Amino acid sequence: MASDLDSVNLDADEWSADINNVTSAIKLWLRELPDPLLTFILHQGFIDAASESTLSACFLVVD
Amino acid sequence: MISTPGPGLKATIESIDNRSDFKIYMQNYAYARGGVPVRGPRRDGPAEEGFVSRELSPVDQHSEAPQLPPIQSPTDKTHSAAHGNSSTPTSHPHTPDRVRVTFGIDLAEQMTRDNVEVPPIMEKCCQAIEKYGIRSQGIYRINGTSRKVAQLKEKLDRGSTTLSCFPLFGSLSS
Repeated sequence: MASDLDSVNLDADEWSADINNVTSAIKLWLRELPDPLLTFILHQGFIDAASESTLSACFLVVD
Repeated sequence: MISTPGPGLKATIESIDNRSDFKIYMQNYAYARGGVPVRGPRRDGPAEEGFVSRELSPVDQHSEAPQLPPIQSPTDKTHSAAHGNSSTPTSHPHTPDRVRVTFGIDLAEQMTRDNVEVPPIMEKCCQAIEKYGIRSQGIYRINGTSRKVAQLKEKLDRGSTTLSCFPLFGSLSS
């Protein structure tokens, strides 16, 4: 049985004519993830890493 | 000169099975999370103020988790146990069977459910974007029509309109 995703044909004119609808759908999907792609648990780690000024310091924080 | 005793780098690299490692990792992750999405950022604080300790790590579950089936919500358990086929269980409690919701479902849950390494929606949309949008400018900057985007979301979640009007149609035809 085809899944619901498979039943959608993005090659159809309806969707391929305006690609921004497809890109917006992807962005919407990312936005609606209950736990973001950069997860809540790792959130503070990302903040700490981003506040370092050098790349090697970043890696140290990540490790 | 460095001499390397043991199996050597090439053999070691070849012995790494990314596919199954990743699958086990995602299953452990979903299991450790108990299938319950975390709402809001986690912070540390005293337990009496309602803070949840973050001690529960995937490593703790490592010894027992690989045999576990993918995480499902309690409402689906009886269904999939009775039918024994794990190909189309949905973990969304509010939708009927045979509808695999993609939007608003936890990423780890989606991927263990569909048994994939790349979320199907990513694969499908990126293919279309690379095929039709690679020459247009600002594909991710410019928004689509909100009505069409909502329509596409609905279709990706529930399939064609005939399917959502007649939920039994899918099972009859398969």
